[in-house]
Amino acid sequence: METKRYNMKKRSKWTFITGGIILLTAIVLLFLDIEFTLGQLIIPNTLITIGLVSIAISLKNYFITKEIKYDERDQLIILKSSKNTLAILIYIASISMLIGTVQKISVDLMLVSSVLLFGTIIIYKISYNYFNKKN
Amino acid sequence: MQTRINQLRKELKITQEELADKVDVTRQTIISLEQGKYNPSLLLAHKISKALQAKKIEDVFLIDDN
Repeated sequence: METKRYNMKKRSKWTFITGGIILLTAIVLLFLDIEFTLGQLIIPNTLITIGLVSIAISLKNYFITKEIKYDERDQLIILKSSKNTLAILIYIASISMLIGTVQKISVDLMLVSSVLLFGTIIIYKISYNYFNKKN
Repeated sequence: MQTRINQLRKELKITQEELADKVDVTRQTIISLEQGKYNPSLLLAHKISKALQAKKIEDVFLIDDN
């Protein structure tokens, strides 16, 4: 496996442009006093957050990260931790399904989605650290 | 797998970072190889042997029979 390089400095300009456009859209919406909502989310406020985060990420990539290098060991660790994360998710889904057949449970979709999202990230990070120490 | 990377590297007076740059991997990979935690691909083993001026791959990487 050959080493893969990602020039983050070059890529950061696109993140910066996207973030800028999102931020400008939010400012225009705020000035026009248009209140778009999606459930409990107020769209212009959410767009401001997304825009600022995108700009912050692009600045970090331009000045600090600059380049990401994945050599054969990194690729192996990523592969192993991804497989591990997927296996754990499948186990959890199977157990939830089995519990569902025994007892009917109603859960908040927002809560389940956020637990699933952050849970996946945490499981991946733990797996990555484990395989990074082992290999 | 045991390696003589650390010994050969010190003989040639090159740092882990310099060796990593020569063979196009990260410094962490060189650390893992020196500790015998990671088994490299044939290509990487060949590159490291060449960078450490070894005649054969076996001069750098020693397969533990046990």
